[in-house]
Amino acid sequence: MVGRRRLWGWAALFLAPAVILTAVFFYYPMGYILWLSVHHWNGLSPIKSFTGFAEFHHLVDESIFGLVIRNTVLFVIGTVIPSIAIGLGLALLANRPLPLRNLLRGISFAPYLVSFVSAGLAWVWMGSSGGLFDHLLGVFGVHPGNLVDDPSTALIYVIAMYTWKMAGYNMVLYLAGLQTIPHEIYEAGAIDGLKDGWTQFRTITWPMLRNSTFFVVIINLIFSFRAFSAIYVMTNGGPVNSTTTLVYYIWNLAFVQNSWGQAAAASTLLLIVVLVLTVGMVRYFTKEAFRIS
Amino acid sequence: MVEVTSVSKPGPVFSRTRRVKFWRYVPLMVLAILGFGFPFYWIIMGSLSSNTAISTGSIPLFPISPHWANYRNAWLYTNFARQVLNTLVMSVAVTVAQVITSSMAGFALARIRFPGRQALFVGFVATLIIPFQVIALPIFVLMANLHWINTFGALIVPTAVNAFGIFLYRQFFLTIPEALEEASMLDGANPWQVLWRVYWPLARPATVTLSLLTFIAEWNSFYLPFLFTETKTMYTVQLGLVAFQGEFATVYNLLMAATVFISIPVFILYLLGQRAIVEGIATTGTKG
Repeated sequence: MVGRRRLWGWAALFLAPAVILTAVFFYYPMGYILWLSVHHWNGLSPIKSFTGFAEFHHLVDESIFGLVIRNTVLFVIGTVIPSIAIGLGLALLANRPLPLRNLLRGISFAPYLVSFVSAGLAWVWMGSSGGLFDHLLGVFGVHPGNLVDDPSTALIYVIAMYTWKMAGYNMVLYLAGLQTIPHEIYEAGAIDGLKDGWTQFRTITWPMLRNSTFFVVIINLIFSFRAFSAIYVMTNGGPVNSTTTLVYYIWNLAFVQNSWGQAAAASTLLLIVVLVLTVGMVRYFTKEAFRIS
Repeated sequence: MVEVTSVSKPGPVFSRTRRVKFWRYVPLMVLAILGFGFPFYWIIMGSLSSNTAISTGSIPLFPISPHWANYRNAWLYTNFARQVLNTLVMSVAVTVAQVITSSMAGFALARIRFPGRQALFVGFVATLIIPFQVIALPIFVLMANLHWINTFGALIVPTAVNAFGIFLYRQFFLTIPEALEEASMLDGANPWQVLWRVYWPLARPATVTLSLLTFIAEWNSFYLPFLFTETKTMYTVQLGLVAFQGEFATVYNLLMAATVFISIPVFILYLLGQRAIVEGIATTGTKG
């Protein structure tokens, strides 16, 4: 580490591209969206009139707003919990010295590599009437028809696709976490009588994976709040808005309804929710850390 | 430790538990492999099906008479060659830009002590939390004012920096012994030369990881090109696929063929750089 003052100029030079780009394409837009959320603008006219919190009131008063919040909450909880639980299960399986484990790692990570557009389109086909899921559920005598066209199944179906895509990513993160647990701990536990799998998991593995879980929860929350393309290609927010989440609604407000003030208010809302959740998670996990150590 | 286990678990008992574990876990593994892998197999079968098979939903479980022509037709029906070119230009440019901006910033943050260093690092990493959709509208307005909509400028410049890359290079450069840089400085090299001639070649693993992850992310990206392009001549492959769905909504065999061939580059990169990709993802989890 070199700390001489004559190097400050070099530091400025090295940092200039990243700082300028981050300022222009991140911090300026952040400020702009906050400013725009208290103005009325149709996206075209040169006039942006100050309206205070009117755009937030309009946003909340929209008849669809409650549904959007409900969909967003269901989508985020419905994707984050199963994809983490399945990812952890996959990691525990793939961490065992058994045949097929490399195949399991490769195959369950593969969905993460394809785009949400490709995966979404493939799942639309698989969920259509006469498609794969129609055949599979037909074995049990259930014929759901077109899964993305039914308001009662569309959101669950998008969640299922998203979980299929993200579980392998969580597996990779958990596998890295599992490899940091020293084997001696299990051996010491075995001496103390911790031999069966569930007790070992509950008393050793899960507590030792705390840092992994912390990161996995945060990154999955961030990803789930961003999910746009899967919803766009699979359902277009429908049927009857049953899959319209906050990010989809922001796009719809700005680019379909030309209601930029409301779109900015919705963006601000999303910003606050994501910030509060992330900061909350960090505080929760660091507090835990202090209590344990 | 070894003695303890061998005393408490004599040979035959141990091998029996091994066998019990095998029968407990291997069926689960097979189930998981089928669950995650079968959709891929089914997509490929669909892409090789005849029009009648796909419209009646009677996809053969094995490729009895594959319709390879579906691939040619899917490629020809839309302007995919142009979209592949656009996507390559965008992905390569963004990748190169991110490698350059990230290694420079990562070097300064790791190796030069200056006031505000920590705050700056936090300022970069904080950008990873906020969804792109929050800031997309102002960037759209900015692009429109610059008349950059529907140009490569809009596809490349807003993503030319990535805090993940800065983080990756910073962590990597922190592990390099200080003596190296002092020695090169004594040889009369300035920091610019030290970065590109000494440090950057050493950071090759970080460069490989960042390049692969960025290229794949760009190849798969949808929202940014979706907002910032207007005409089909500027479409990327993902937009082309959505447009294809719009025109041939129910011609699922062609749609699946298109889905398969636009995913191939990503899988080739994964097979070539599997270790770098998986380690890159795992590093952010364990060190982040």
